[in-house]
Amino acid sequence: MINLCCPSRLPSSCRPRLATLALILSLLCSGGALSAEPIRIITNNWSSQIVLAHVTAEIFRRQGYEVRLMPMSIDQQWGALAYGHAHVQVEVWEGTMADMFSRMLNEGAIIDAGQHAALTREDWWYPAYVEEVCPGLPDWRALRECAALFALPDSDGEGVYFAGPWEKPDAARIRALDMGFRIRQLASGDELWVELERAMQRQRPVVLFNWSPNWVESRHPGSFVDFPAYEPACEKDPGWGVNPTFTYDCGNPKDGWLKKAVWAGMPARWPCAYFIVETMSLSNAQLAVAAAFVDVDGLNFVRAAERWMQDYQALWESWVPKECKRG
Amino acid sequence: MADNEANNEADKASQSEKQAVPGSLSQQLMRVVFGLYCLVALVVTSVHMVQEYRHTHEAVQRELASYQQIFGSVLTRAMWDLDRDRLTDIADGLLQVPIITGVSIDRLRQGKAQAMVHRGTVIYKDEVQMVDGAGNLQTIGQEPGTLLVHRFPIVFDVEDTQINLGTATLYSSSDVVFERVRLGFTFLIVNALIKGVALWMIFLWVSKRMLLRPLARLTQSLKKLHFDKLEDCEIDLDLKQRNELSVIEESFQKALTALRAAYEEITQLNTGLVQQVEARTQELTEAQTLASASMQAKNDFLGKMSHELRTPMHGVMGMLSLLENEQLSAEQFRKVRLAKASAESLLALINDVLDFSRMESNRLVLEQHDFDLVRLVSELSEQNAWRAEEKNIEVVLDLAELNHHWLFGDAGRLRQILEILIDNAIKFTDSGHIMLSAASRDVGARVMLTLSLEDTGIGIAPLHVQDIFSPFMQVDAGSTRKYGGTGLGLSIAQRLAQLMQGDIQLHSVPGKGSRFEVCVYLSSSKRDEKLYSSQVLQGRSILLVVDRQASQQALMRQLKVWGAEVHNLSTILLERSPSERIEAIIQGHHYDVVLLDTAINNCEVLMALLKHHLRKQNPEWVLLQSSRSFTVSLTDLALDSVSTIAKPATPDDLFRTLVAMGDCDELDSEESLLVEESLLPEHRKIKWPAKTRILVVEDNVVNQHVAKGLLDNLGLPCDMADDGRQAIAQLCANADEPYSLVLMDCQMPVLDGYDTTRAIRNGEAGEAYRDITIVALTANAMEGDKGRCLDMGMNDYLSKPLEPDTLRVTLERWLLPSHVS
Repeated sequence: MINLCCPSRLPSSCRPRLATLALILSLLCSGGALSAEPIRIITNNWSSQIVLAHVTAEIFRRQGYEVRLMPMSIDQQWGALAYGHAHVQVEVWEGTMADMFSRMLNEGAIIDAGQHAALTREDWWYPAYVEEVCPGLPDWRALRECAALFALPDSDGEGVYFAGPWEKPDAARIRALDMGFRIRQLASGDELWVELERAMQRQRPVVLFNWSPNWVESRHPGSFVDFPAYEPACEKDPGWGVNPTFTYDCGNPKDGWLKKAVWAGMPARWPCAYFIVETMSLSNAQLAVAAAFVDVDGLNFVRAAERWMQDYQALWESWVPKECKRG
Repeated sequence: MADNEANNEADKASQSEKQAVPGSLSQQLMRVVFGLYCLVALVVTSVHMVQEYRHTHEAVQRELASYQQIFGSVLTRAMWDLDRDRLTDIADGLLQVPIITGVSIDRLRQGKAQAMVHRGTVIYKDEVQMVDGAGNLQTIGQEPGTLLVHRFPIVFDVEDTQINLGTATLYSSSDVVFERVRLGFTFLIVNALIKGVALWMIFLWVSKRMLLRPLARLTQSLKKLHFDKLEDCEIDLDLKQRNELSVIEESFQKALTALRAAYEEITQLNTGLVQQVEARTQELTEAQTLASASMQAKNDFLGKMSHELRTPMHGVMGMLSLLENEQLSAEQFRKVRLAKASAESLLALINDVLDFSRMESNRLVLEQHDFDLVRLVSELSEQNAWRAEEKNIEVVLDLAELNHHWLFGDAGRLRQILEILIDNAIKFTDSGHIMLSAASRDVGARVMLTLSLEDTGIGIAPLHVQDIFSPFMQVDAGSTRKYGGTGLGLSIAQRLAQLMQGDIQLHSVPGKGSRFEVCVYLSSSKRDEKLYSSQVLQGRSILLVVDRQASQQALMRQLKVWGAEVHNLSTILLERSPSERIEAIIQGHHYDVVLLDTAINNCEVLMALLKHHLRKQNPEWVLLQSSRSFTVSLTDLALDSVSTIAKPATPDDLFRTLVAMGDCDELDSEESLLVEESLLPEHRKIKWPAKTRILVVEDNVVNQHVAKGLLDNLGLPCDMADDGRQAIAQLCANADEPYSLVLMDCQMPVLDGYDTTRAIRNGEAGEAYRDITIVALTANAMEGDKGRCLDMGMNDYLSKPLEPDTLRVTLERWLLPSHVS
């Protein structure tokens, strides 16, 4: 057996990966590595994920795999992964997908393909100039006090919080913390950035849903609002936190993980591809760059992926084991 | 009034309806219609219920399928998300649906079903299982077939691709179907019952109104239909509409009208017929009365004639009998015998006429008693032998085939038959023999007795054989003139034989003779004693010297029956000279007995020769002598041992003579007794009990003398009484020396025999005479006289004119101790 990447001095967390590699080798030796069935990679509706999906697809293709990208909402993706309709999700955010990820994992329907180096956060965010008009930020209580600054003509004097198309407990939080805001749900992440650009151009106070890693933090200074720190009890126990009556009197988790998930049958079907996904790991900056190529530089996803692969060739090539590399 | 009558009619009709018996038209109709309705209703309801069940079953199935549409999308979504909590919620929600009793949701994983959620009653691993609160499955033993199952795939559409996620199965139960149809079934049954009751009531009402009530009226009218009250018979069915019943009503009315007319006609005819019948009946009644009176007059006349004729005959014959016993010269004796014979002929003629009269009126009844048949035929043959020998006719008696000594029947009538035949035979035979033979055998419980009388007379032509038994018929007028007679004898004999379940057959050859064969059926007697020891002459050799063939054959048969060895000399006599013949016969033989008929030619010479040749053997001699005259002097023969037998030789004579000659030790006691009895003299002196005395009650002086003479001959003292009153007085006067017996005439002046007897039985003659023997002595020979005498308390009956023997026998019966017992 060839020791591919994990010598014995490697930490224990590397051992599953070794086992996977051993499996890959055994399957390769049996001549079943490649299949005519395409590897379907899920693409969602935010730029970093789409670009990374293209990058992954390109890597797979270069390994000789048939690949197909499947645009899909995050609601549908879990069933697709569970029933083998889709095979790879390259970004699983803890803040929005932890429950479903955990359920699928428990059902044995998916495989946890490892964690990116990046840490994630999803929460209310504001540009840096807002602190000038609303002193005390990023504390949530300051935001509550100057909620009226965020009002729009049609918001009846209440502040407006621009939310993305992803399900979040924002309404519960506004009620529990008595924030004086109303939610304006936007259809996609792009619309968030439109609203952000519009507000920044007028230097109008704005607070909106943002996440990290994202291109925004690399291009526009700003901060997440500091709500009371998240604990699981916040979602279940009304007595917990500042409001003894309601749950969700806390913010979203900070420093959340960002994982990859694959269909449970993938290691057996496409062992090299699985190993690549499992090895794949990006930092917050690397992900933000990928998103910026699209959202800031205006490249399409394919071009953005090519650009990113050029910029980080050494990185992604390190994800491909020698045994899987084609001639 | 009319309304009242109509109401009454209606009430009666109604009562008739109520009185409808089981099986009436109404009940039959109701049974048939309602029965058929129930059958049809049952079938239709059953089909309806089955269809309802099937429909409900399908509806439940469809309903289950509809929940696929309702819950399918959320189920698919939850399945897509593998959201067990949500799947459980959905399953729980489905279980809230009343028809759903169980839910199974299975995920398809790697081509195999993986259970996700089970709720309620489900089929798992081919068994019906119940999921408890903790989600555990528990087998409940229910048949899988009882569950209704709807299984559907969970399919998720993504990007125009259908992904099969698994299956969901909804269960329902047949109990749900039953529960759902139960109400429907109840309604259905109630509906059928209501319809049935309604139909029954409607039909009852309609049938009563349209059919039963008119029929009841019709029945009522028919019940009232009497031919003698046709005027009162009416029919009104009260029909509102014209239908078949109205046609019946009209037809009935027409028939009634025709019937009335016919009845009128018949009534008139009947009246006429009744009058005619009454007139004819009157005539017939008168004729019958007249006939009855005539018959009664005839019977009375016959009775009177009987009495009136017999009474003088009684006197004539009695006196002649007395005269015959007195010292008479030969000429006087001959004249007395002729007078007595004439009287007997006249008496026989009277008896014949009386018997024939009884037979014509079916009043002749046979008596039944034990009698000695051998004695009867022997006496008859002996009595007639004397008269036959006058005509040189030999009477032969042959009883070799008779197996019964005693029989039970009417001996008098049997004797009468034989007397008629014998008398006839003697009358129509001029020479030769008359042979009376008897044979008997048991036929079942009866005895068939055959008496045959054969003669060598003139015979009868076949042409007249059929007529010979007709009354008042003789072969021809010449015969009547020559032989006399009334022509009643054979007719009476045949009728008597027929009364004994038999008949008389005649076999005859003109110029050669006739043979009358009487066959009668009698009963065997309890006294049927042993006739004779069959082999009593066994070992004895008899030389028979009889030249007449009939007698010779009869003797040989009888002697052989008794076991004797018999040789006949007469046959040989015809062939050789006497000396040679005798020598030839005797040569080598030893004879114990020589039985010789003294009537053969040269009897003395033959006997001398025989005696000479048989001197060494010293046989016993038995001579058969004529009853009229002895032709051989026994003293002249100088024989050591000789016996004589008067012809005809009866079995008794032969038996006692031959056995007495032999070794008496060989006889058993019974035979000895027979011999002893038979050796007694015929007219022995009867030893009456001491002080025996007879009272004769008779109004006719001649008859008194006759009775006294007969009693004197029997050695019985007697006294006379002229009527019943005198008799009672004499009885009373002689209480110390009482009479032993009373001979009582029935018809007497002052007090007749019947009343006298009643008075004696009542003790009017003294207690000592209350039970005295009273023997009726009357000339009333008609049937019924004896019964009347016995009814009046008399003990016996004697018909006048008195026969000495009959009187003797009767007195012996009542006076001698042995007889009385």
